[in-house]
Amino acid sequence: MTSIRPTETPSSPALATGALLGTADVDRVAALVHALLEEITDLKTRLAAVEARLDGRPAPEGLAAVQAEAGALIGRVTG
Amino acid sequence: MTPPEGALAAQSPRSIDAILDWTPDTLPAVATLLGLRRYWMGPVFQALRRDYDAAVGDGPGPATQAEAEPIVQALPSARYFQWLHRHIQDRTWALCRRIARDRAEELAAALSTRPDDLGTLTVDGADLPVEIPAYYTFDYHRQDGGIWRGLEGAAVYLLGARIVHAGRNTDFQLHDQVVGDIPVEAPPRRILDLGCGFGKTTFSLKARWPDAQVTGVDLADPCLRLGRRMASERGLAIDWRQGDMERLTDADGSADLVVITMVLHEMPESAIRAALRECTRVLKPGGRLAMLENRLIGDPFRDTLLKWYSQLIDEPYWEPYRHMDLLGACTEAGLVEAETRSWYLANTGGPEAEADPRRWCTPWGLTLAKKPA
Repeated sequence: MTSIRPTETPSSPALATGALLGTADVDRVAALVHALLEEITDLKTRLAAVEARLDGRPAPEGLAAVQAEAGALIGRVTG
Repeated sequence: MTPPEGALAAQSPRSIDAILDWTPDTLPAVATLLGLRRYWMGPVFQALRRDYDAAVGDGPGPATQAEAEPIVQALPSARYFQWLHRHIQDRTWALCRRIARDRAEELAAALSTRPDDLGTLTVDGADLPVEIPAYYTFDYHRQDGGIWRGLEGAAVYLLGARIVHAGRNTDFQLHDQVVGDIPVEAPPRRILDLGCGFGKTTFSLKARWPDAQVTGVDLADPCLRLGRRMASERGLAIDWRQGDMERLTDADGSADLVVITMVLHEMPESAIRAALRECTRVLKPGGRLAMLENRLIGDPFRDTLLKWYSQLIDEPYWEPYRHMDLLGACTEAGLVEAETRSWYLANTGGPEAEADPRRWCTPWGLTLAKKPA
C-alpha cells in the first residue's frame, strides 16, 4: 500500500456548481443542454445506422431529412 | 492443427489504443462534447467579450486582472460561461468513466505482464518505497478518485486527454510538436520525463531520440502500467518508474535532458522549487531542462477567464503557478540561461489568436534552462 507523505493540501474548491447560476437557471439550462445532447446523439446514431446500411445501394427515402435535421441541431449547439 | 478461436483471442489481446478507441456508440457523444466545447470557446466567449466591452465603454479599461475580474463577474453572461465550462468538464468525465468501466475487464487483461513487454517497470515496493505527497491526493480536474488509485482512473485520464484540447490531441500530436521544439546541441543519451502520466510526452521523446535511454517517472502506478503497455505496442523500449520528482532516485549528473510537461501547475510552489533543485542535481553539467506550462496572456479580461478556467475544473495551484516567478526559481535552483518562449499548439491560431482580444486562446510557454557546464 502506497503511503501518503504529509504536505500542504489544496483548500476546498472556491466555486460550487450551484453557485454559478441561480438554482432555477441551473435546472433550466441543464434540462435544455441534456435534451439537446440526447437529441443529437440519437439523431447521429440513426444517421450512422442509415449510412451503414447504404452499402452502395440507393439512399433510402428519408436520409436527406435526417441529415438536414441532424445538421440543424448540431449547428444550434456548435454555433 | 488450428487452435480453437478462444485460445487465439487469449494469445492476441487487442491493443490499448484499440480497447480505448471511440466506438460507434460513443462517437456521437464525443463529437457532441467537442461541439459544445467549441461553442463555449467561440460564440459564448465572444458574447461575454461583447458584454465586457460594453461595460468598460470607450475608456482605457482595466489595466490589471484584479481590476477586470469584478467587472467580468458582474456580467450576466459570465454565469452561463462558467456553468457551461463546468458542465462540459463533468459530462466529459462521465462519458470517459462509462467507457472505461465498460472495457475494464479487457483492459486489465491487456495489462498483464507479457513476453513482448519492452523496457522496465519499477513501482512502489521494498526496493523502491514511494510516498505520495498529500497535495497529489486532491482530485484534480474534477476527476473523481484521481489517476493514481486504480486502472479505471488512468484509463479515464487517457480518454479525457484526447478530448481536452478540443479534438486536436487525439493522437497526442501536441506532445510530438513540443518535443520537436526542444533545442539540443547533441542527441541526449539519457532523458527523464518527470510527471509522465501514461507517457504522452515519453513516447514522443523516445521516438525523436530512439538511441537514448528514456525513463518516465510518475507518482501514479496505474498510469505507468498503461504507459509501458502502450509503449511496447509502439515498439518503444522505455523505462517506467514510480517516483516523486521532489525526491528522485537518479544519481547526480546522470541525465542529459529532463522534461516536464503540463505538471507544474498542479503542484504547490514549495514542491516546484524542490523539483527544480532535483532537476539541477540529476542533470549533467550543460544538461537541459525543458518545461511546457500555461502562462499569463497579459490581457486582463482573458487572464480573468483563465483563472476561472482553472477554478471551474478544480486546479487549485494553476493560478498561483501562473503568477510565480518560474525563471527566478530556476536560477535559485542553480540553473542558468532560463527563458520562456511562447509556444502554440498547431492549428489553434498561434500568436494571431493571442493578439486578438476577441479570440479565446490557451497560452503555453516552453521554459528552457541549463545546468552550468
